[in-house]
Amino acid sequence: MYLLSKQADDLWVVFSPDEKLKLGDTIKIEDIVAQVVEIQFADLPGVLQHILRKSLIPVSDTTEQIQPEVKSIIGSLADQKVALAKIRGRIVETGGNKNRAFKTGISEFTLSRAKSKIEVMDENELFQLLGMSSDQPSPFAQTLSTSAKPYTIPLDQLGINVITGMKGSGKSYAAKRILLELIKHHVLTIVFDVNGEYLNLWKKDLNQPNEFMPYIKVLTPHIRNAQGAELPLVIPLNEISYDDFAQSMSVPEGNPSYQHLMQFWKQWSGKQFDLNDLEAYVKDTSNVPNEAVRIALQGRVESARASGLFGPSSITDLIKQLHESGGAMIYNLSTVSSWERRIIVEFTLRKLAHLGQTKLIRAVSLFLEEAQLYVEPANMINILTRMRHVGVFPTFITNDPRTLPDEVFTLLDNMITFGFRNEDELKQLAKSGLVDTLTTDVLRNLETRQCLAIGRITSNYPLFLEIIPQSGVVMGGESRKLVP
Amino acid sequence: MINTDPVVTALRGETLKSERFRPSQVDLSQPFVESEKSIADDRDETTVHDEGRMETARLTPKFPAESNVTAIDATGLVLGVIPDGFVAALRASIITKTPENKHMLEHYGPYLVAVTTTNIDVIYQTLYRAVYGDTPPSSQSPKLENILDTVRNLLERYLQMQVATRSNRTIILLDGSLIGIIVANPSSYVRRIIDKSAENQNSLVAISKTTGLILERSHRSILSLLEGVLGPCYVGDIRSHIQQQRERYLGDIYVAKFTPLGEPFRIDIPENTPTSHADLLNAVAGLAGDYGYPEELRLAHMTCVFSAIEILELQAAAVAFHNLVMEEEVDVRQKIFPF
Repeated sequence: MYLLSKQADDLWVVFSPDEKLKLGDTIKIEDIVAQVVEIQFADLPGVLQHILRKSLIPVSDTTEQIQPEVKSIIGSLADQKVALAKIRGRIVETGGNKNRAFKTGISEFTLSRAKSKIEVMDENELFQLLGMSSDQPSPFAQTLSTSAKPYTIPLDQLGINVITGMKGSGKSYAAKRILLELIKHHVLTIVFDVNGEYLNLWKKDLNQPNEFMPYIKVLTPHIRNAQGAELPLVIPLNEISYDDFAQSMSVPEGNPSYQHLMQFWKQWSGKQFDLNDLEAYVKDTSNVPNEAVRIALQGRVESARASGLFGPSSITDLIKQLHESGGAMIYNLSTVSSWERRIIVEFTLRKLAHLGQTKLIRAVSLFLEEAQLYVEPANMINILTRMRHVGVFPTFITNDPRTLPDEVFTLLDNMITFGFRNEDELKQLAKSGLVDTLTTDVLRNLETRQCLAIGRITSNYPLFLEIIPQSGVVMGGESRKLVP
Repeated sequence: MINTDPVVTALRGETLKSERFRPSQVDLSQPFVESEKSIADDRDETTVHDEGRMETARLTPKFPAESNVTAIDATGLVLGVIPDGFVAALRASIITKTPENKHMLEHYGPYLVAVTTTNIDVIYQTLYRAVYGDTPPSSQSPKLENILDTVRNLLERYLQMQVATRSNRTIILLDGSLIGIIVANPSSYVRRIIDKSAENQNSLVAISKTTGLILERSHRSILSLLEGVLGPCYVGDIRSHIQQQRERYLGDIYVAKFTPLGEPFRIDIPENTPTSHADLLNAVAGLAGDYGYPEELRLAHMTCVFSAIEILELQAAAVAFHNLVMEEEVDVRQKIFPF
């Protein structure tokens, strides 16, 4: 390999066909550390004509008799490649023991085209410099490099996280891998599952539970009875607002029914109440003198009762229990309307904030799949700021990073990004400041389950990874096929 | 594929030992490097008596759809100089058009050859014997400045003989002429190629872009006979107008233009072709592309010349194979007159 040129923090390196170099490889040139973000053919004058001439007669119609000593060299010049590597920093010696450390940035450039030796850095050495260990029993991924190395996420470095990528690129799979690791480390994760992707995580196959079953609970609205790991999701009536109830029961704002609901909630403010209490209120003609309104409200109460969504809830106890042991509460939001989704999420967030403020829980992880479907942007910022202080660590999982407010990216601790093709989506990622646009361009070339991870979990060094499959767990959601 | 082992063995010779090597300049802005064939088949000028009328006849181009057409060309290039010699590369192409109108390519080489004043005779004699089956006359050893073209010509004649032997009912196009009695082209060998072709019902057509045949009255090349004349047409038979050393010319000679505005070429066709010369010329006209040159011969030429990129690769191969030590070219004038 030879150094060709340098521009800003970009290095161009020429290498021959028999030298192996991959996207994501880290190369070391004396003390400078750079990462390969693009590989092209070396641009040689005359190469187009050289290739056009070869194309005159198809290869299938060509036979050759080349002298053996020439054969291995013919074609090698046209196959020379150029790698673009981003300078990430340099290796410095620290302390009297000459320990080596990695420092970002370079302030002097003393490399020589003729003399500087370029080599692919061993991943062990890189990890050591970055202070990352990888000798864990079940690694999360392996590095996408010439010498692949297992990588384990340091879970204590998870803060505000984004996992993003095109549909089908593997982001939910990665999120589930992280979730299962968090369970093993006795962390509770609340998951807002809008697509029903997490519902089978407690199963080994479709008929058998796995080792995680005792720790995973799937909370599904509108069901009556528990089955396996699935529990009814029920919200106490007194923990939502009259407006939420009115919206969910299609009571237009301002009409007499709405007014009465407002009245009831005001009357019972600060107390525990349920649908029986509301029904009693409605039936009392001194509260609701108009018969038509009374009938309408009675109908709403019966609807609410039939939905099974409102009633006494044991969610607080469940949170405390799983917070102790570690586990996951999967909120199955795939079968509910958008209003119900919002009610459920806001209820849960209020609950978590309260438990955190009163120090009944230390910390929980919160997975928000496609948060824009049920959280207002203002509330997302609230999750980022206020809720962090009460021990809620959010991970936003989305197909489209543009649906997240810019504040998410500016406050981000970690980003795990799968493949993208769209220019706008790639630009959004660069707003995090964790990664440059040239590096995000590599995302166009990633295959399924390949990603770029950067942040505190990688000591701020962009790592290209391939997620290792999980065994013993049904990772897919419940989906129906159009064609059987 | 043709077995070229006898030729390759002769070319390979002995490995050099750590000689200093000054590579030829390669200009990557010139994608392909042409090398002139300096062995003119008729090196000396020969007079053609043109006192009688030489009739111009029209050609009716007829694409030989149902025939095989084979074209052969070879090239040689100096890769760089070593003390008392040079290292060169050779390559030959054989293009065959099938009745299905498909083109097939056989590539022979690149072959490396290292020639010095010490081994020039050995290489020449070994190669001559491999091709012609005979020892060359000792009085006529080629000089170092001519040896590359001699070697290229020997390779080309070898392949021409092999093609004449293996082909049947094929139009065989050669770059050059059918001339004998010079060291590089003994007439006996050219005669053997012609006879072997005829034996296998092949039709040989040799096409030259230049010639040493000069018209007596105008002192101009015979190609000028078609100056200002719209093709396709031809003038023949030129050979009957040659008086000196007519026996050197082993085929009838024509000047032809194969397309209306094409270039004139000298065409040599042996007497004993299975097809009439007029039909053959019509067939070659049917194969002509731009500038009036037969497409198969054009492809053979295009696929055998070296690209600038290949020359750099071959220089590297030569250095590796012969353990050469690279030496940059020194511009003596620059040294003496630096400003």
